[in-house]
Amino acid sequence: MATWFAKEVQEMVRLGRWIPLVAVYLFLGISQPITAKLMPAILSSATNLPEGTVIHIPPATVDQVLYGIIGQYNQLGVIALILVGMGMIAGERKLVGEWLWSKPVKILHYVLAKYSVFFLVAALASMLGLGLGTYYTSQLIGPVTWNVLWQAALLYVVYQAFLISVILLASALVTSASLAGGVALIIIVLVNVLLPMFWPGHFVAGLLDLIQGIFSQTAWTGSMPAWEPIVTTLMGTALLIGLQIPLLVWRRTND
Amino acid sequence: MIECKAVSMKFGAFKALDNVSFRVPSKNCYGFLGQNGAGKTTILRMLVGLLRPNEGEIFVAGHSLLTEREQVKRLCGYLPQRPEFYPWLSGEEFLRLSAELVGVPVRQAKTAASKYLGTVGLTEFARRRVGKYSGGMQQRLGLAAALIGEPPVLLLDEPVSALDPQGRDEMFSLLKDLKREKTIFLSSHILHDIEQVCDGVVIIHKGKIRAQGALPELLKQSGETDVGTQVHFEVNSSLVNRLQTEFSRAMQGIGIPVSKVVWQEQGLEQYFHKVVKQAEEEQKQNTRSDQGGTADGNMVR
Repeated sequence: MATWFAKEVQEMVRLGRWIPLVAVYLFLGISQPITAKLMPAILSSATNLPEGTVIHIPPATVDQVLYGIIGQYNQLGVIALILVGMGMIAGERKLVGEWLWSKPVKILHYVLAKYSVFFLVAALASMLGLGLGTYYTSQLIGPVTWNVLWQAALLYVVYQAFLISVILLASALVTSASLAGGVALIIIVLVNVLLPMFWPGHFVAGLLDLIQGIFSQTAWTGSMPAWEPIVTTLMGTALLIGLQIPLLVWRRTND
Repeated sequence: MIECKAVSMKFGAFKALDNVSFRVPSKNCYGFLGQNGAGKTTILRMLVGLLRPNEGEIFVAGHSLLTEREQVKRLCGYLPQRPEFYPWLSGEEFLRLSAELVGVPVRQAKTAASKYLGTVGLTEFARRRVGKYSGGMQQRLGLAAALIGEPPVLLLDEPVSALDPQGRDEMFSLLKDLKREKTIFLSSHILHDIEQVCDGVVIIHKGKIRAQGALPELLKQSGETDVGTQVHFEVNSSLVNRLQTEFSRAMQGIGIPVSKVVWQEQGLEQYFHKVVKQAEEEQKQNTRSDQGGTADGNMVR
């Protein structure tokens, strides 16, 4: 496990895979409060509006801005995660598959090392972005309750853990990195769009509701206990990580 | 020891291996010969657990590949036809990773990496990124990666294909040393070198084993009576053309002193070509008889 972990850290650093993650999450974190603060000024300076146009925009609240960051994370942030992670297993199998599978590799260690390094970097990047975004929010919009922020941040990290397990599973499933990216994107979109229709308030949909509730400091009104979306998301993550093991065992003799 | 028993393998409708059985004795070096596409790489990939046969059994160092795959992987060092590396690692780092994966303790992995970099002559390039290695250097590094962990069985798929003549000589001289303590099974198209280094050969043609065994016995069994003759003359250059045209009938009559005559018995190269030719003739005959049978069937119908 330590061998693979060290190799994954080395790969993350030498190939600069951490850079786009940190850059995208920082950008998303910082841009949200700045955009919210400057939106009236931007609109008033727009030259193509008819004379006399009046647009009434209520000032953004702290919870709106902070949940806006999570909303951005759930769009551009997911794309960044997919772009960085889609080749982590598929690309490696293509590059050194014959060498790799001819060695007595413990697939569990291999998968866990990949997962944990990717998760650590992604979680740190998103926390950094959220931290800076919160700082700017407190400076530009209004005071932030840090306790609320940390609760929401931890819940987002749970959601991110699920996203990463989807991306790595897709990467283990197919041999082409771009195809893996497409598969991961479809699964994530389906989970985010379709699942709330059939199973509202549960699993990752419930988790995002929970994050929104924490930011707006409203009590949890779901029909199930508040821990249920957290536990089901963690269970889903563990299941997807576990699925990679038989899949890669099969791949060893079929790549 | 390596043993294949009645191994068959299909890729879709294409039968890549047909009832393949052979045996490589322990601490022997055997060459694996065959034309391109004969099934050499398929067998070698199977021996290291990268492919699962549709039928048959494979044993490596007494362990069945069906039931003890991971154990077999620990016992085999494998050099693929096109060695693969992480281009962002240095040669030394790659060997350390390879060593740790086959169970060499972390503290000894660095020493082992340095040792095998020296063995394949890459010590001065230890810190260079593998992505910047030449083809020949990558092949040497691939051999070092196969040797690391000191596996008792070496499976080498065309280990000299990217090497220059000097590198080839060094590789075969290394293999000569290694075969004293390891079982080596290597594929190559360079028959002369195989003949120099190998104790025996396995010849495969279109997925079927056509010959196998120790080299002296095989060559003896073939019953070939033709003898290749090499005659070295010391002649004036002006006589060369005349020699070429009249040699067959007038050599003795023109008074050229014969300085050296080398009588060369049949070698592996001739034997290999003979086996392949026989296999192709058999195949042609089978095709003809099949077509004849079909024609008869049509006539009856």
